[in-house]
Amino acid sequence: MALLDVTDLSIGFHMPGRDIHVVNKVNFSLDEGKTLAIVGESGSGKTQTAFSLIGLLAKNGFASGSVTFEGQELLGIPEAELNKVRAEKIAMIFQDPMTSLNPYLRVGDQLVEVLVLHKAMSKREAQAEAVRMLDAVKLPDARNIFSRFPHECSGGMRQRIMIAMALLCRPKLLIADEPTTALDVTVQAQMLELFKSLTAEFGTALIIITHDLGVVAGLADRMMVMYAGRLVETGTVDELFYDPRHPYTLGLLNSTPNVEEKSERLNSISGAPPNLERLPRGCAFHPRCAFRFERCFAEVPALLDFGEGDRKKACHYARSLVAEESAA
Amino acid sequence: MLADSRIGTAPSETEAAPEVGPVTPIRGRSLWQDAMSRFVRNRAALVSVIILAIIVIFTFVGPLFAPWSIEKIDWSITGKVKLLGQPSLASGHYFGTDEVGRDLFSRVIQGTQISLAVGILGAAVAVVMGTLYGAIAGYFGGKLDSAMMRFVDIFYSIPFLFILILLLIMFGRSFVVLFMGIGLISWLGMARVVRGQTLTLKNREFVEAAIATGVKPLAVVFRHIVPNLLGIVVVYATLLIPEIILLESFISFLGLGIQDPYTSLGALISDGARTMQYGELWQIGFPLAFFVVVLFSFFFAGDGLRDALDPKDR
Amino acid sequence: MSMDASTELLRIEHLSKTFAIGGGMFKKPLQLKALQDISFSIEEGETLGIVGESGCGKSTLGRCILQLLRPDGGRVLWMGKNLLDLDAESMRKKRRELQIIFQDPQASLNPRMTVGDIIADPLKTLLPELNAAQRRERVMKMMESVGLQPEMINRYPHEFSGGQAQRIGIARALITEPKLIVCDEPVSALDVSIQAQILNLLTELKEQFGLTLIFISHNLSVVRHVSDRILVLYLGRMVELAPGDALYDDPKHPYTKALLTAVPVADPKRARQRNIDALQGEIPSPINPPSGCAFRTRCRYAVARCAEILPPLENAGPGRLVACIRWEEIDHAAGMESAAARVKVLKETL
Repeated sequence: MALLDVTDLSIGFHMPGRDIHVVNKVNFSLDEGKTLAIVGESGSGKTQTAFSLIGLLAKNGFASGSVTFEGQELLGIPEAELNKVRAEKIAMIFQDPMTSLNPYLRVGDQLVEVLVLHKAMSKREAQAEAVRMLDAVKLPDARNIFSRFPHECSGGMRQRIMIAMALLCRPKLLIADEPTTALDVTVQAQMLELFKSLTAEFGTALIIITHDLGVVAGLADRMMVMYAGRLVETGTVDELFYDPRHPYTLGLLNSTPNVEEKSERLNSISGAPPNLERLPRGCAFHPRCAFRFERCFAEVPALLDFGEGDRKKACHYARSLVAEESAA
Repeated sequence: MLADSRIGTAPSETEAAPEVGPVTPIRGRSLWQDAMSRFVRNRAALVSVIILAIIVIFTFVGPLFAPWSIEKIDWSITGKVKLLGQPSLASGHYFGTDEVGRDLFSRVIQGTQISLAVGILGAAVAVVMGTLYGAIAGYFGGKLDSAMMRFVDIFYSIPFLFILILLLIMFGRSFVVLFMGIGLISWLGMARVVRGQTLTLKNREFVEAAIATGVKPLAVVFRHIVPNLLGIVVVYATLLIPEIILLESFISFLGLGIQDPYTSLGALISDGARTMQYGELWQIGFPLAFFVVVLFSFFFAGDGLRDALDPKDR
Repeated sequence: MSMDASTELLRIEHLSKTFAIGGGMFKKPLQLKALQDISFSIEEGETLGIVGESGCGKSTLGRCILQLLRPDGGRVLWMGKNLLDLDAESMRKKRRELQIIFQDPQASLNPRMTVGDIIADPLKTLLPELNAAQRRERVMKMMESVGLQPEMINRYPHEFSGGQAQRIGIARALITEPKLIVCDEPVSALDVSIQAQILNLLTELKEQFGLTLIFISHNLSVVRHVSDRILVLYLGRMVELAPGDALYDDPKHPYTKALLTAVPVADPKRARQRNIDALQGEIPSPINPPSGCAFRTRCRYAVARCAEILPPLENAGPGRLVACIRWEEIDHAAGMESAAARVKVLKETL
């Protein structure tokens, strides 16, 4: 049984006078200990998808479908039960560490609070465990950091503290929303290594939301690509990078400049992501697609299985895109 | 690398190709228009503005219906105000009369006019002076800013009410002295607010961009900074008007405000308060009602403006 | 790059900039040395990429060149004339030739002005002889050049997407026909697919208008793609300067090496093969930089001498400069290593 099973997840927001649908029937699952990357640009719905897993949608948000974690349905359960799931089973870290760290409390106190609340530890036990976790995230001089305030720590350190806080209760699943986007390249590299070693050490499954394909390539086992609120392709990382079946995935791969090779002209995707309130008819991507044909203008492609393993795509174009390229 | 793609039949890199032939520009929706639609959706604010408009129209139209002027004394009820001075449509004293026998309807209208005028004009002076002062101090910074703001600090610490009262006693109770006094106090707060906002704005990239394109400093202030200040200035001004009305009313309540036969809401309330013991409650009731409605309307409208011009839009 | 007698457009000599942080009536402010001893020159028609991480001073450098910040020391020679010697009015006039594109497209546009007014603004100040109709015509032509529909001229910035807003910023920078444009992280705030569009646009416009660009970014892949030469900064100092391909294929400075290996590669097989061996530690604070070479606290090749001497910029080949006292040894050792590896492979195949 998969650790996390998401079926037909749809998310929307009540706005004055109308409802906006930001995520449309997303289906995916994640096994224990594996890493899934959710890739997309602005408006793709990737962040809202992750937020909805632990009930972090805004007050005017609504979600339908099913999200099962270890067999337990998470959508729509009362706040009290959801709180038990949060931190203990599913933890989340955000792009900006300052937003999850209380600037008025010392780092150590915040960590201890989590343990005392969720694991009913005594203060002394909690302190020892917290220091141990700060060591585990490779923070030098854990004891010292324990008594510091968040603003006295650098960006990279704060990110590690946040990871430590998230892992305190040994959750089975960690969700990371653009965890390295705001970091320097060298610090990002450290952070990615840390993710790899921690997930291995604690057996944590990881969902990482990012737009950086380099990060995905180095970290994830599986990936899913979202566009305009829909899941357009999913499979293993190797499958999507070397044999992408959706033109958007191909476009993203081609738009990414390669640090190892200079190209004459970057291949970009024409146009811009659509306004979610005014989606094009048929496939939302067709105005920017190089492989479109008549059917794409009229019919929204369904997310269908194909090939071996858990491989899905939502595209009418049946043939391999890479083969077309090399033939052309 | 992985797969070099061709763009093929996809559209050009930008949106659909530009049209050939004469170009008709599309009207844009400015941030003010966005704010206006948000303001209109706020019912309390909208109702307040409508009420204020009605009151203003009333002050212009009302006198046409008033059989009595503001100073003419109705000798027929002198001495018998409690009995005959009550509000009645028959006698033409729609709001009744005051203790001396003057028609309260006309006086309330006139008082509202004066109070509104003092409030709005005072706020206007504060806006112009305060904005210019604050924007220049905030933008140019350094020693100029320090000097200008110290000046404001010193002025702020002077007990103005005290001085205003002294001035009024020394030079007599003229509209001009009252007006100048109020004007002198109110621009200070505005200057501070504007300076603070300017400090934030001047670090914004579009200001840097203006400097980078060679715009002269004063032009930067007027073309780029001031238009972006207007939001906060308008909100502050709308909330300043009732403050000024209150200040003027207080002065009048003390008996130092507008001179007879002219009156303001504050003076009327003051007079009405004195006759409450005789049971002539209409004398305080009507001016007080107008006073409260005007103040609350400005407060709600100001709040509505503040919500409509939400900072996240700036 | 021009083939014939190329003209040197900009020369920076020993530029330095220090910020005073904090301090009050009774406390002395701390000195933040944002830039120290920066020297380089730019030829007409080339693109110089400037890379580095937080605290390296790259944005400060861009602004010092344009005199948006006043440098504390050194010279900024624009076509032979030191910009620091000019008075405010003369500098203002020179701004016609030196423009800038900012990182955050929306923040760099005045939200209360229409697009047309924004793009026309530089014309109003620097070409006052033009009348309104002439300005409008130029604005519309420029909008087309950057891929914006001219009908949008009366729209407001918030009605545009990120990519389009950046095009507006580019149009504004180009309208005065400048010679040099400083691009300060122009694509960092944009989605990946839009980044590529804007980079292509910049390359086209550079050709079309004969521009010289300074491209500042923390994204090494992007910088590689657009630059002819690249300058690497660390904590306000020059660390390495080299032609693009040379820097990426054969970095000499330990920091450059570490930086390049840290960039994640969008290729799963290669990513698995790579042994990243990430750089340890954090970037030191620019207020209290380490003595000698600022990079020594994180450098695997650091020795005692590194703490004592400030490494001078040494010649490391044609058009290459490196600021490391051990670069030759490291280079030599690396050469030996790869030679040994080749021998090993040969032995195995025989």
